[in-house]
This record gives sequence, structure tokens and C-alpha cells, in this order.
Amino acid sequence: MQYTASSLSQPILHVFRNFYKPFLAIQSFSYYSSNSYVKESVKIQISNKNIFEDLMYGPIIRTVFKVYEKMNKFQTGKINLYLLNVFVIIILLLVYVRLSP
Amino acid sequence: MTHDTIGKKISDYKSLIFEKFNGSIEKIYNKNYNELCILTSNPEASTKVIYFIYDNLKCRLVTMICTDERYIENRLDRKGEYNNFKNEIDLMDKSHNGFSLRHVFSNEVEDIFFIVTSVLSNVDKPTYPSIVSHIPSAVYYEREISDMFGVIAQGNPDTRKLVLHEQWPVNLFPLRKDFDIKRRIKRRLNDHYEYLKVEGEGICEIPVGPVHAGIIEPGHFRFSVYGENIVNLETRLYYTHKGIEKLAETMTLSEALLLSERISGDESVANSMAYCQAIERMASIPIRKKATQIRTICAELERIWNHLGTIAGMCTDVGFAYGSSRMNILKEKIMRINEKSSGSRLLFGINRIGGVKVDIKPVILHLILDEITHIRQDFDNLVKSLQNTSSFMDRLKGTGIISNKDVLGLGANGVIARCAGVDVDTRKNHPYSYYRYLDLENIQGIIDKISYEVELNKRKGDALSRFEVRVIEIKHSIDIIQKTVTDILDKNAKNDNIDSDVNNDDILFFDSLKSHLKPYDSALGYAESHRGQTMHWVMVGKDTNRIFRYKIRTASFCNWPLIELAVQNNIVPDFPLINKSFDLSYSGNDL
Amino acid sequence: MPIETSASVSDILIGFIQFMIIIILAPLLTGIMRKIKAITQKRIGSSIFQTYFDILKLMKKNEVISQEVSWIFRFSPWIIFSSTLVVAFFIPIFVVYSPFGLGGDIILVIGLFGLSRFFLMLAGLDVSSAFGGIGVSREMMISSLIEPALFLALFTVAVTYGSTNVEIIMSHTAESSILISASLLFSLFGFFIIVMAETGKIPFDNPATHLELTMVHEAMVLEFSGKSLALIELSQSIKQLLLMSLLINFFIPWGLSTSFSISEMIVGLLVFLLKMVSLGILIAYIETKVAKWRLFRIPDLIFLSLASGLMGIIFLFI
Repeated sequence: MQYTASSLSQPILHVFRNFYKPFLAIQSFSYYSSNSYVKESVKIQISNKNIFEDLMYGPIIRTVFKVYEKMNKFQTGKINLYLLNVFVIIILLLVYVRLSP
Repeated sequence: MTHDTIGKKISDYKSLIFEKFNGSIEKIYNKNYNELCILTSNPEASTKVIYFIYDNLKCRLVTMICTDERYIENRLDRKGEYNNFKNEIDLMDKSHNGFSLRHVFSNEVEDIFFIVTSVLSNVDKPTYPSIVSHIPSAVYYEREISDMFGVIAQGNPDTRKLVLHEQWPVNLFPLRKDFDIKRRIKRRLNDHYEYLKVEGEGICEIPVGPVHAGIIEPGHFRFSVYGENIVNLETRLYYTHKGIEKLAETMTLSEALLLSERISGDESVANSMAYCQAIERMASIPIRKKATQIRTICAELERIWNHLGTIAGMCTDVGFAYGSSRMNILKEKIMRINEKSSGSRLLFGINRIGGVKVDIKPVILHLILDEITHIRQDFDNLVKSLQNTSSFMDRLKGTGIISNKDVLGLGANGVIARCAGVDVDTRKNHPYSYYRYLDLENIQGIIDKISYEVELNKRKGDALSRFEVRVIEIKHSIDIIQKTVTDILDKNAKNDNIDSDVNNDDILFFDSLKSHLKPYDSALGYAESHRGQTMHWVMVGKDTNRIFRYKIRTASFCNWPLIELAVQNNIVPDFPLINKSFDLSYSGNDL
Repeated sequence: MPIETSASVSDILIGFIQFMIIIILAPLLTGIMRKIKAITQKRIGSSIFQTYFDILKLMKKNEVISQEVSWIFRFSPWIIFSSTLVVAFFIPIFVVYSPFGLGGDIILVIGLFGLSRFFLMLAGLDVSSAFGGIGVSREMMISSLIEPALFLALFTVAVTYGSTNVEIIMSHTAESSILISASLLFSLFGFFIIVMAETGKIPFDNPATHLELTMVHEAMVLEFSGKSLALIELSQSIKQLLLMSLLINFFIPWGLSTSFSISEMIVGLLVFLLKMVSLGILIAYIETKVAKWRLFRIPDLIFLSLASGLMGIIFLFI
């Protein structure tokens, strides 16, 4: 019998449980519903989260992607639209330079 | 409860049960002043009676006894048991030849035992319907009977061998009468014991034992753990199975007394007392009052030194050597008292059928009183300092919780039951020996029922409540000893003993049992050891000096299943503490 | 200042003698602590030289090695022993001189202790028994929490005295005034808890237990026998002595000799022995007063030491 990786890391995950939120659910099935002491089988479910990913990196990545989706509309592939964009930006810049003190 | 009130209640139950199950009952009679025996016509009918007794009469399953009665040649010898009721049954009928199965139930409120007997006459494939779906505590009894007798309980889902390990040949049943005790068995490993495998990723199985790192008894614990959390525990015992029940069948009554002391070395007084009481009830012989007082003193001394040892063990298991060394000093003082009063530190050789073997002189009684008072003071101070050590209390609090429901469902008794708020105590429920004359409720400080119930409900069933229950019991035992000793020394007390032979103070035993016993007669004997209720059932053979069947059920047998429940939601390093706070005997379970 | 870039023969000899004294005194300290614990348990206990007899007995015995192991199991006792010995060269005990001089950084000391612990954990896992795995996972939890606390406590000392070199710090402490600043008191408290945790004392671990399910350090060394076990036990004793001498010489340095005159060194040695024995008695007494804590409450204690070290650093800059 050797040790499993999840078991080896469980104490550390428990110490930092606010960061990793470890979750263990035990389900036991018995032969008779009136006698829960004679078990037929026992199953467990484990899950660990990573709150740095979920709360820090996750939202940043999601915002970046959302902004990207919006910005994607500019990339139409038609050269005429790109030239129109360049023309509009130059007009705006000239107006800005003219109006600023 | 005096014998008259019990007798009246038994007649009420007798008529109630006879009316309800008219067709299936062959014989119903009472014996030994508080046993009501019900002989049913077939195992299916006895199942119905069992469910009625368990559900409606609110009784606990105390033990299940199987006896091999196939070869009793002259069954008419059994007339002695059966002829005190109007229905004569034909004992030579083939249907009464076979394995007999007895379920014993006890009514805690009214000191009555119900013994539901059925005879399995199909000797080739004896089976009976299992009651496991209804009564969870029956699982281990049924597995033990199927291992030792080959009598299968239909419907018991656990078909693994319990008592005999895998190298024992299949289809060989040791407790049957045709298995000679001197037979040599060729052993081969047939297959492996299957443990419950927990499914899921990350589960690790840790096997501990049967060879342990310290010098303790062998037992195998298979943990399924996830890191430090225990998901499932399976216990496997019977590594010290000595075949005591089979050995007893070759012995005379007095030889079996020596055997009963050695079932579990630290319960010797309780076990020998239960055995002697079984024979004394069967023979209806009265015991001298002083003998009962000496038995009670020794039983309570045994309870004290064992509880002190358990508390010392709990301190060792949490690494608190200060507490454990001082508790062991107190335990040593009690064992020296044991040696002065009986010559044996473990109180071996106290009991004898009909009385006691040792007489405690008044000099020693005064000595016991003095020393017990000192020990009590030291013990109080030590417990106070233990309760002030917060690291010790923190380890005990909330560790190994068992619930009220588990205790009632699995039929636990003793300290384990009392720590979860179930007040079962054989000394109060079925008084025996000198406890009949002691007002136990007064000694235990129970002033009114309601406040006692409230206090019982406060007990959470964790290791701390087991510690506290043991502390309280030590104090009560000291009170009982003090009261009993003062009663003995009190010359002016009214001596209402039956035997007025006051000159013969040295001889406290009875001779010539043979004339009082009938062949194939049986009786229950019970006592409260420090672990819980130990129940012995003795059936004498055709020669009334020999034993036909000796069934032993110590308290550990009922309590071992609860360890598997207590460790759930606990971490692995707390397991030795939980195991020690239960303090169960491997040898008493394995027999 | 006895820090020289070129060392004379007598200086190296004195450094070597200091090193031998560490190796010889280490089991004596363990024996004294066991004797004190036995006295508090109202036992006579074994003599204070029993640890020497145990180690000699183990040296003579054969080793039994499981078939499942790899080279890690066979080599790790030697790696552990040698890294502990290297640390013994760095830490001065009664005279402020260590043979490796400028190389003796406090961070290197912590790193070497970490190296020996790493190989001990690998050996515990290498045996592929369940108890080895249990011991390793618990030791991992405790030691990964101890490292930052140890760093914080020692950084306070390092910033106070201006260097992380053990020898330089000790030469400053030996000459400084009697008054200890508040930050050093916090650091002392934190470092004391760390010493108890690293050497496996109650409330962290019970080295004398027979219950394999509760062991932390002993579970990893369950499979060692003979010479390997002797080496590991000796390394444990030496590590205990080194950590305690760090504590003594950083925080209670009076009597530490700064020059090589014979009289000062003798005084330094005697004062050191006295301080070592008193600290050993204090630790043994604390061990008898508490029970072993629940496994998942131990991080709380380590976080206490971490907070104390942090307070020490904050007080430096206020």
C-alpha cells in the first residue's frame, strides 16, 4: 500500500482551506433502508478550487476577452473601411489640435 | 422490584403473548424468577414474536444462542424443563430434534428476560429468517452462529466469515457436537477476506495490525482515508480466538469456573460472578449475605482499577505523561489493596459456585476504608488538574462522537451507552448480588428523574463524556465500597440472611450441587463489568456436573461495531484516543 | 574581530575542536531532557548517557532493508548526516569563530536543514508503506509553514545586527549591551516556538510514542534500522543542539568569548554548557505541562510564531 497524491497534499490544502476550498462528500449505500449499518458500498467525491484563478485571474481574462469581442468588429477585412477609419481619426486629431489651447 | 411484582408482570406478559400468537406458540413458561421462555413451532413464527417484543414491548436484543441438540438420546430427560405448564408436548417428536436457536431480549424497566426459542429440525441445511433488516445489532450474532454451527440466516447480506479466518476449511463447524475438540485441521489459505472498498479518486487504504507497534492485543483495522480524514473503517477481530465455548463443553462445573475467570483477564470478577450466578439461579440455591457483599466489593474494586487504567491510557494517547503517570500510581495503589484482600492483584480466584473463596477479615476492611478515602482525595485533585489542562480537554472534546440513535440501534451497553445519554446499567435494571440492598439511585445522586434526564441529554457521546462518565463511576464505586464495608462491619445490622450459621464465618460456600440441578436445565447469568453487561448462558448436560453448552457474550462483543461509527468525521491521529476511550477487550470479544 | 580572510593553524584547530564538542555534546543534551521528563513522571528514568549507548548499540546491528526501495533510501541517512555536520561547522557555540567564515550565511543554514528534511521525506515515501506516507504529509504541512516563520524571526536579528552571516551577528551580539530591544523579544518568542517545532517536541510531536498513527517524524524513520537509524538519531540530536545554540547565542549571548584567549574560551564553554542545560530543562518542563495538540491546531501555533516574527520586524522600523 502506498500513499496517493491527493492524500499527501490534503493537510496543506486543509490549512489553506480559505484559498482552496476543499470539498469532500461521502455517500454510503446500505442493503436495507431500515438498517444503515450494513453498508453495500461507499463512494466519495472530492473537488478543489483555486480562488486565485477564480477571483483574480478569471475576471481579468474574461474582461479582456469581452473587450476583444467588441473590438473585433473593427476587423472587417475590407480595405476601404480601414482607409475610412484612418481618414476619420485624422480629421478628429486635426480638430483636437486646432481647438486645444 | 421484588420477586412477587416481577412474577405478576411475567404472568401479564405471558397471557398477552399467548393471546396474540396463539397458533405459533407451542409452550410458554417462566423460570428462574425473571426469564419468560417462549417455544415457537417454527423459525418464521418466532420472527413475528421477535418483532413484537422488539417494537411493542421496547426490549433490547441481548444475545442469540444456538445449541446443537441433535444427539440428545433420551429427550425425556428434558421433562424437567418442560413439565411445569399444562400443555404437554411430545418430546420424542422428530420436530424437536435439531439445532435450537434462542433469541434473548431484556426489558430494562421491569427486570424481565424474554427467551424466544425455535427448533430447526432440518439438520442438513438448517436456516432461519434473518432479523437484520429490523434489528441492526443481530448482524454479528448471526454471522457468528453461521460460522460456528453452519446455521445460515437467510437475508443477512454479510456472508463473510467472522470468527474463523480464511485458512479454516469450508463446511467444518467447530461448535457442532460431532466436531471432536482434539481434531487436527489441515490449513490452507483458500481465499482472502474482502474489505469494503471505497470508490472514488484519491482514496488510500491504510491497514493497521494485527501486529502493532506497541504491546497490545491483535486486531486489524482497515482505514480508507482521504489524507487525514477517515472515510471508512473496518475492524477485523478474532485473532485471539481460543475456542473457550468448545473447551467448556469438556469441563465440569468447577473447572469451567476457572475458565470463566480467564475469558478476559481484567473482567475476571464480573465474568466469574455471571457464571456462578447462572448456576446458582439454575439450582435455586440461596447465597449468604456476606458472600454477596464480598462479591460486590471485589466487583467495584475491579471497576475502579480498570477505569483508572483507562484514563491513564487516554492520557498516554494524547501525549500527556504527567496525567498518565499519576493515574497509574493510583491504579497501583488499588491493585495493592486487591492483593491484601484476596491475594491476587487482578482479583482472580474470588468467586465460587454458591459463594466466595476468600473471606475478608475486619482488619483488612478497615484498611480498605482508609486507603479508599485517601485515593479518593488524590483522585479528585488529579481530575481537577486534568480538567484545568486545556490542551488535554481540547483533544477530548468532540472526538469520536456517537449518537443516541446509534447506541440504541446497535444495542451498545456499558460506558459507551451511558456516554451518549442511554442509561442502561445491569446493576440498576436487573439487580443481582448485594446491589439489591444498596440504593443505587441514592448513591448515584439522582434526586429527581427530570433533572437526571436533562443531565443525561447533555452528554454528547464524545471522548470527553466517556472520560467524565468514568470519573463519576469511580466516585460512585468508592461510595458503594464504603457503604458495603460499613454494612459488613456494622454488627448491629439486622442479619436477614438465610443461613444463620454465624459461627462458620470461614466457610462461605455450598456443597452438593448435583441434587439441585436437573439434566439439560439452563439459566442466564449476568453482571455489569467495567465495560458493560456481560451475559452468560449455561446449559448442563445429562450428567449435571458437566456443561453441555456455555454461551458467553461479553460487553465488548456488542460495543466493537460502534468504533466504526465513532471514527467518521475524525482525523487519523485521533483514532488511538477514540480506541482507548472505548477501551474494549479483544480477548473478551474473540473468546 | 576574529574574522580573518587568512586563518592560522591554531584558529582552524579551535574551530575543529568546537565542531567536535558539538558532535559529542548533542546526545548528552537529549539524555538530560529525557531524564527531566522521567523525573516529572515520578520515574527514575534511564541515565543521561543512555543516548550514547543506544547509538553505539545501533551501530553494531545489521540492517534490514525492504525490497521495494531505491537508492534514495540507502543514501538519505548519509545525506542527512553530512548536511547536518556542515551546519555544525557554521555555528559557533562558545567562541565567535567558525571555520567556514564568510560562507556561513543564515540562509544557507536554513537551506541545509531543508535539504536534510527533504531527503528524509523522500526516504519516508520511498519505502511505499502507508505510515511513511502519513508521516511525510504531516511533516510537509508543518515544515512548509515553519520556513517563513523561521525566516521572519531570523531576519529581525539580521537587520538589527546588519548582516546575515552567523559569525558577524554573533560577534555583534557578544559585544552589544545587555538591553534587548522589543523587536528582538518578539523574534525570540517566535524563534522559540520554531525550535520546539523543528526538533519535534510536544505539543507538535511526541517522539516517545508507540502509536504509529499519531507519529509525525518517527513515522518517516520507521523503516530504518542499524547504522542508518543511528545516523539519523545522531543527526536529530545535533540539529537540536545547533538550533538551541543559535537561540542562546543570538538572544542570550552573555559569556560568549570574542577572542582566542584560553581563559575566555573556558569561561565561554562553561557558560554555554550552563545555558544549554537550563534551556533543555525548560523545554522538557514545558513538554510535560501540555498534551500533544490536535494535528490541525498546530498551524495555529505556527501562525502565532509567524505573527510574532512580523511584529518584530515592524517594531524595527517604527
